[in-house]
Amino acid sequence: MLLYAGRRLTYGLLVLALVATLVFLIIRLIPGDVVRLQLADAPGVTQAQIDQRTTELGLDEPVLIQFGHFVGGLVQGDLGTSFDDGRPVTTKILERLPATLELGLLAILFGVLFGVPFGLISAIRHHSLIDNVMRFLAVIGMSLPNFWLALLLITFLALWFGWSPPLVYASPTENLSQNLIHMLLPAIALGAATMASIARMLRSSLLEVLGSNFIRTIRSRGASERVVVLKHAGRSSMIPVFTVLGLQVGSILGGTVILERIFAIPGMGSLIFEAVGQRDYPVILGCVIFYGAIFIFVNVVVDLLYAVIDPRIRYEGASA
Amino acid sequence: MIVPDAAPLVEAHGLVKHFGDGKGLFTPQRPPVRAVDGVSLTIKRGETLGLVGESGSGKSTLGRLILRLIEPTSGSVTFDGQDIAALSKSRLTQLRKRMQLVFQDPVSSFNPRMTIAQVLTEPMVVHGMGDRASRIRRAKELLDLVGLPSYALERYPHQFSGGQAQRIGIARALSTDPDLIVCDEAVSALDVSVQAQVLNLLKEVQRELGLSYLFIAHDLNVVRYISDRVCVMYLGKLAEVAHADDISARPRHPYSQALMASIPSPDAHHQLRTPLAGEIPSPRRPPSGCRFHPRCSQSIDGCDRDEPELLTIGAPGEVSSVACHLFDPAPAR
Amino acid sequence: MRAPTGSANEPLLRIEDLHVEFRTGGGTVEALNAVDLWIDAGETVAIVGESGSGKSVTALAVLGLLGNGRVSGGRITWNGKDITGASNSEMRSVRGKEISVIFQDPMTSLDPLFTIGHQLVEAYRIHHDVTKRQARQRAVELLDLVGIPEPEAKVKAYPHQLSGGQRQRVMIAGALACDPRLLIADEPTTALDVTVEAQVLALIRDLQDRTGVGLMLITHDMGVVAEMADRVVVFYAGQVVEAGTADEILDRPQHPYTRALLDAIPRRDTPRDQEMPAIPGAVPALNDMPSGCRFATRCSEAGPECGEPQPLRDLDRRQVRCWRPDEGHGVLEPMVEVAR
Repeated sequence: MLLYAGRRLTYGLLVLALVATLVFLIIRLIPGDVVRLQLADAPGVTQAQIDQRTTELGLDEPVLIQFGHFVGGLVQGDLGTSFDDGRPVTTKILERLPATLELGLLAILFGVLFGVPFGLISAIRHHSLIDNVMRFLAVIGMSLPNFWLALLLITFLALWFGWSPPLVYASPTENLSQNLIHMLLPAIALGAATMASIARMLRSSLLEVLGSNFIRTIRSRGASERVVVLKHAGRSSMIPVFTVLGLQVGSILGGTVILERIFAIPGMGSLIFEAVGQRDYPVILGCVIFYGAIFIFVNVVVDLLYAVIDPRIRYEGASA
Repeated sequence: MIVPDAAPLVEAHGLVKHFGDGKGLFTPQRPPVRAVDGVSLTIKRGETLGLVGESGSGKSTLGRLILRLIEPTSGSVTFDGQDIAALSKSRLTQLRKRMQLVFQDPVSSFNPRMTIAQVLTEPMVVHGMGDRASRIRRAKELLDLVGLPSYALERYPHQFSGGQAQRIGIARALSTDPDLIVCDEAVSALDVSVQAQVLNLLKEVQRELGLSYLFIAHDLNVVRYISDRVCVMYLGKLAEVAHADDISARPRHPYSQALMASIPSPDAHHQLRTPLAGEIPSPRRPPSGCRFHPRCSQSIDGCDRDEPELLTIGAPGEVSSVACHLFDPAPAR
Repeated sequence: MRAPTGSANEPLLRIEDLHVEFRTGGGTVEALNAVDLWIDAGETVAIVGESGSGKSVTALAVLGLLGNGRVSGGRITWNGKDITGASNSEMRSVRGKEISVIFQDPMTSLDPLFTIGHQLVEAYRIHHDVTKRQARQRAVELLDLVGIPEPEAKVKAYPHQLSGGQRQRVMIAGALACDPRLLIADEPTTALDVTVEAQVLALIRDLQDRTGVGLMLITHDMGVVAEMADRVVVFYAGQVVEAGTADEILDRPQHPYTRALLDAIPRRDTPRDQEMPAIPGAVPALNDMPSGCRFATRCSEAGPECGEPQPLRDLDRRQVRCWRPDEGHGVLEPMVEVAR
């Protein structure tokens, strides 16, 4: 089990290193020059000033050397300083991280809280009216882009109930209720696809497991349907559901970039949005690495959950 | 039917196949699965060689080694005088035409979207045999040979029963006019009445075409019926090779005896078989000495120490060979 | 030969004129057509037939586990009580407690995610209000009973850590957890090697001797029938074609199908230079059954009379679904001839 965890973690770190390298290189391909962008408005900028700024930001060095500096900093946990305001990137990200984490967790919570019962009901009542309705909704939930769903929600709530979400963000420590009201719509918009994917995956894997031989054995011993479905079939169906959930974390993280913008939430999503506009390479890079790290961490956790659920994975490599 | 004096069609020497002995980055070294561990055998032209053993004995792996569908860890296979391990890819492809495989479950080995005509002509296309018209003609002949009507050509695999599908599997194997067909549990999934039909068909085809079979199965009575000689395999090694009638009437190796005694017979009422104790051990850690000794009721001193060799016994020219210390000329004591 | 109705000797299980239908994509098909059989307490009855003959469906019908199938006619009486239309919750008190079942494939019949101890404890506690500790004690006892070595350690094992034979022993342990009166064994050894099959059958016999549990043994293997059965019921295409004592059926089969089936088995002394006596053709499809005798198309003795539906007739000490024995059509002589 420890061996398995170590292996998963090592693979995760390798992927993260690869992601960091790729992003570092790709970022340089974005057209536009950070120095000119910063100094463009100042009247009478001389070439000397531009050169000086370029040197200050370390952009005069060859890309390979820059990459060396970046890697050197990264292993010490230093992501460099922002081109914009000169503050450490880590500090800027940590300020913004809580809001994004909260939004992401709420979206997942929404997805699981509704996706699991929908999937269960669909599987138990398969081919009934309620199953067909839910499957139809699931397809819609998966195909609607989250930002569009968000705009729809805002529009219709405003039209029908005259209600619109607060425009000023309050952190949960300042004003929890206002914070939650603020987060409600983006969390739903972001979690809808997760809910739909979980419902669909749970339905199909439950149906498959419910037709399997060991379920027949358990039924043949007089177990109640509650035990059959929730305990035995449910546990077997958890692995594909966790897989979907791990992958959904990726789209939820991606979704925060736009949704935080729409709902004026000061999270990492809006930070990266601003940073791209300003060609603030260290911040972009830092944010992407954080996003990548979260995604990889979640998926390592999912891999470990497989092992917790399934003894065949747990004992892999230590055969009987 | 067997061509006695000619050189054998297949000669395997010291075939060994170990699986999973590679060491991964994070996987600790562990002993390999010794699926086949030093097997030598010959298949004569026109002969049916039977291969029996419990699951885990390595019989399917041996069949695939002989066709070189998997690479041996060591050892050699000669097919019609050519060492197939040394052949180039293109020469091997040519030789493949002459050896075919019939599976336990034919339907899952067919592409469900192909008609039977396509299923049957595909091997001929692969080997560049004939033109379209002649291939279809041949497919009709093959169907006729296995006792199916020619309108079956337009149908799809799922439209056939298990027995019919196995007939098609045999027809496909015959399409390239092979010298050897390896039947891997080819009748095991069939109902008794249909199994008898397919056994008859295999014999009839052999009579007409003079090809050889390696017939792999776990049912000793079925193997005995169809084979000329029978190899009994246990944990990657041959325990006994004997004439088919001898294996049932006079099994020599204690494992062959136990296997024979384990077959339930419809003619023996209420007689419980005397079960062979224990189960086949893991091929990762085979027992020392004779691999059968922990389950053997007749083991003697030295069986746990010295590995018996497969020795020819009886009069010169007798086909029997046994790997058991009870039959050693100089007993290990 | 039929068990007397309403007498003190009411059989444990009685199936009368049972019809079962399944819904499929192309309408309903009838999997069982007028099945009659009974099992007395402590008796071993073998249900024998080829795939698709309805053997397993009969077992599932008794347990009320037909899935998308339904009993469309007839009656199942368990212990004097009609359980034909019983609800799922009524059947739950029978399943596992009074009638237990073991299935063909021990590799997939245990939940891979729970220890075998957990699954045995669960099986026991469904019908017994005991603590987990007590149930665990019972689980260890059961493993010991079915011959699993080191039962105290093995309760913590997961199914994938056991061999096929051991898993089938665990299945048997689970089935016997609540001391049922009838054990249905559906091809219990088909997936096992012959040597392990012999061990498992010996175990079942031993447990029958010790507990007196009745056995409904579903198999396609006449060798297993000969070894285990007191009585035999032969199925063909969803019907019972012949039933009687094991000795009668195996030594003096009357139905042409039973005879042909026995002949088609390769024996240790079947002459290798002769053709196997095979049954020509294949079992008719469920949605395309002949209106007369269902075996007629493959029967070497079929005549014009076989176009009529054949009832299951009571003969001297057996039942046969064929008009010939009744006609006194030289039953014994031709049979000897066919069987050589």
